Amino acid sequence: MDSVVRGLIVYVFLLIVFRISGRRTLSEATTFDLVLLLIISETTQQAMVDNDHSITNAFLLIITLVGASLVLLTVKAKFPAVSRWLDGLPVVVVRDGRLEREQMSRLRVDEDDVLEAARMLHGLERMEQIKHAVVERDGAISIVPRDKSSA
Amino acid sequence: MAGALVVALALIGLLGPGPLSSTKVSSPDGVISAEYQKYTRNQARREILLRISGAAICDGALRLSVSRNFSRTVSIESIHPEPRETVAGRDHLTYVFPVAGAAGVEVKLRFEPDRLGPHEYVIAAGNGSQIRLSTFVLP
Repeated sequence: MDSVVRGLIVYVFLLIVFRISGRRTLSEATTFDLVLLLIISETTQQAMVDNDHSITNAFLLIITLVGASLVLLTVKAKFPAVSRWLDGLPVVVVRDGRLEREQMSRLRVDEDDVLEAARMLHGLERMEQIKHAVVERDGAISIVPRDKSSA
Repeated sequence: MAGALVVALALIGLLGPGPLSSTKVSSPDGVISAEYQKYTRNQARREILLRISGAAICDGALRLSVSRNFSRTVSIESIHPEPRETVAGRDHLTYVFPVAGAAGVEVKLRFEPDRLGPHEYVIAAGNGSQIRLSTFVLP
């Protein structure tokens, strides 16, 4: 019983923490973010496994976490409002070449992040070449380039 | 479906600690009793809480005998309170605890199972009262 309860508590806690910290937390890949994720992973493992190193405990935790994930998927499919709250919606941060500063501030995205995505995805160099930029639900930034004819 | 069944079994205590696993046994005369988890897992720390009444105390000491197979099938982490001495018998280990007064005593055995499968242990107090503990160790 303790394995299932611990697994569920940790799963729900991480869900809430990462929801609050924002979608960019998981998409960013700086060295510090990687270190943070490694530490969280280690801490989580200790909390869930505790001092029970049996195979049964490992299997129970895996089944609990996979089961919780499946239940969450089902709930999100049945209740779109839950999906919107948990995953959010894509947010436009550059519209017709104009920076949406308020949205950018809320999502902790700056101009450098948008330009980085533009370079990596389309080889674009300047903000003027970007028509739209959208922060997707997973925190990644997608770019719609401006037509060459109108750039 | 199978996963849900496994989780349900775990929640009710058939795959480890839980409502169906929590067990309490007492000797017929009520001198010694134990609370423990019937279903446990290999190398998972567990405890047996023993309560022994003053009737088992003699000359300021409590003698507690534990069947030999206990020390053969588990790794004992700690015994609280710590016994003054441990006496090895042919088929049991006897722990001697100094006791102040004639009130009852609580002894906590903390251990990790080492062997899988069913096990039965006999724990006896100094006056001969004894209890049988049945456990099943899962992998």
